[in-house]
Amino acid sequence: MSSADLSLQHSVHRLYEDHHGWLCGWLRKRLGCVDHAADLAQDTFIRVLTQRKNLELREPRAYLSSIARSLMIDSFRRRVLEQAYLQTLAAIPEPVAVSPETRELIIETLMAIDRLLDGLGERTREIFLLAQLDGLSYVEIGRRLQVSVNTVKKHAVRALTHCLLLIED
Amino acid sequence: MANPHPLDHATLEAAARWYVDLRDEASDAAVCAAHQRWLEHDPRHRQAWERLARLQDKIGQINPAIGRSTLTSARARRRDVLKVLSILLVAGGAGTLAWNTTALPTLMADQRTATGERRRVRLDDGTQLQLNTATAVDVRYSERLREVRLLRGEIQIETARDPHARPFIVHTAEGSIRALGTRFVVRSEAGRSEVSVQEHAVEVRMSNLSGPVVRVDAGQQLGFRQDSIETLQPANPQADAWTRDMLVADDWRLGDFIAQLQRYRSGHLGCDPAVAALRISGAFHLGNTDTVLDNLTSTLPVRIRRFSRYWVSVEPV
Repeated sequence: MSSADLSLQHSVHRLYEDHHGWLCGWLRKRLGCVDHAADLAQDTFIRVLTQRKNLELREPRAYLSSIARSLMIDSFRRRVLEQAYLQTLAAIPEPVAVSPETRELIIETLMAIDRLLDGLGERTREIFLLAQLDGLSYVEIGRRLQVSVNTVKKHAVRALTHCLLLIED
Repeated sequence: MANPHPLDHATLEAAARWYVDLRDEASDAAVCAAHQRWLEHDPRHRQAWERLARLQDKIGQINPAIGRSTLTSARARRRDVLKVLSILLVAGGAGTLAWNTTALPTLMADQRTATGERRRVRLDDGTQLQLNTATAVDVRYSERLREVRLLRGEIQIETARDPHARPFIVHTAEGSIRALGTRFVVRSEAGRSEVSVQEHAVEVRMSNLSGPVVRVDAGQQLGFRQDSIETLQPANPQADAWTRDMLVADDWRLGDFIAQLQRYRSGHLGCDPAVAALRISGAFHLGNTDTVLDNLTSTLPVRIRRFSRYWVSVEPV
């Protein structure tokens, strides 16, 4: 372990001692659930450790709460997505057995796709899903949405480019 | 591998355009050849194309029908919740996130309970209103009327004597129930309302105003839809057991029991058809439905399978 790593660990430790209790309270007020708050507080500090930033912070609580807030939104998204997935499974006539491991993977992938599609307009997103997930041809999509094939292709290019910009090599 | 040339917007857009052109029905051998030349022209082109392939791989892992429905409904739920959150934030109101998402009108209701929650509310005139699990109501008291609109779920009303003698009316999507100095339970679900009367009487009128006004006396219950009224039945004596946090079954099918229990839980609670016809009797505490489920295994030949907190099923041993 390098000395930089040691000093990082040290400062995270300080941060933890000084603000962990406060952060738990902050999260509990917003989540209304003690366990969930404790989990997210833990995740917040893990994130701090992995970001390996300089931790000489002037506003440590503002920094921690901004990380916690983004984790809260993530966990909210995940929860909503998981519920939507389970309801979809429950609604299909042929029951499918999905192991917990497979389910985790599927939900992770859906989360990733869901995030990629954030920030796209409603129509662009719809065209992307019709083409990529439903596998419809551009002609068929144009017919369904009452727009020209060129318009469909324009939206498809926009959506793909958007996704490609977000994916890392 | 570290990359000295990060891919720029133009290169990625070109890759996307090639993909769309190649996928187009009108594409032909000439397009393929031109694409090949584009790939060979610059290593970054190939790199962008590989990134596109990875995106396609990811999407290919998803079952189209399931993925599509999941993504669409997750988005719709999120939108509803975010709208409500922004209303709450603007109003400076309670900051707790509503994890159990429901439709927007419900969340804006005057009183509501989450799945598994029950609550007692005292209205201005002293009337007692109890909300069962996953319930939403609007309350409107005016000079002439006391009105409660049941948006979804189940309530019990115990009316107080009103000094101004204003009528007390519960509206559901299917019709309205006028209290005649009473205690009664109303439930509205899937296009059907049901009222069961514990004290005195109520009058029921369908929402399209056709048909008769039906009087329901203590000890009776009545189901009705927008355009039809069923016949009067003897009330289930345990229709209001939930107001005491109990679920009381008297020789019920296990399948029906599980369906009732599901109302108090988030996520999926299923019952295997092989055990759905087993019979069950008893009084069960709604405070902890997991305990209720676990206790089933000691009296019935069933086991509880838990895939997660949100996915539980009752199966044969």
